Amino acid sequence: MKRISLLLGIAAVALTLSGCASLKSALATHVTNPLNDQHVAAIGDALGTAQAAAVAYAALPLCPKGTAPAPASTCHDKQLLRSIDAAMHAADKAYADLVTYQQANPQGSTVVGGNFSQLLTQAQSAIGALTGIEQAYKIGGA
Amino acid sequence: MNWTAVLQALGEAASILTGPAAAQAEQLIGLFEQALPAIEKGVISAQPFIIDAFKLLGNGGQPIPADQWAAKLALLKAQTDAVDAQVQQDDQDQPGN
Repeated sequence: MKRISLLLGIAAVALTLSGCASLKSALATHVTNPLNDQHVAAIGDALGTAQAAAVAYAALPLCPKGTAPAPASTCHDKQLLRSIDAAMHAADKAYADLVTYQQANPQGSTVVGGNFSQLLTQAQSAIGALTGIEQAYKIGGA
Repeated sequence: MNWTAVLQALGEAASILTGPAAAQAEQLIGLFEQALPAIEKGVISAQPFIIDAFKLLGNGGQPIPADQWAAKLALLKAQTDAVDAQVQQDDQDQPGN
């Protein structure tokens, strides 16, 4: 009888502990979106400005083959434009994901999982990668 | 209550807002300022202005409608498409790497 009581006691403690862990886990994964639409839109405006600079660079004549890409060049380098194009695609995708998330979970809404900050970071770093290339080559007055 | 100080503090807090929300905040603060003499005399309450200001700071203004998000994303995609087109043109004009 004593052994049964002991086993029941251990089971009760185990259940309680596992319940606490689940609760803690559930609380930890619930996050509130702190950003308003205007903030997310402003991030898109920054991307739009960086993209406009890339479009202006692409509109320059193609540099002769064998010319190394140089800052503030009056022609566009083929490989550099490829890199810019890839960065634009990545930034578009990351920003579109952020906007989709923002539309589904407006400011103040509580959601499960920490996706929001991850998406925000991804969008910001993707835009940063594009502007980084532009700054390095002085594209768009950057 | 020093309503001028409250107004100044709200103005500083609203400086984080951008776009339409910033314009809304400016309008709200302007109305609050106009109403200050009446508020100080106790003719009208400052409460509605304070509530509106907190709402505005909380939600950053009106939510952006779905069609405006779509237009913004379409504009970004159009710019990327323009660069895509030039990359393809470069491949034709200068084949190989």
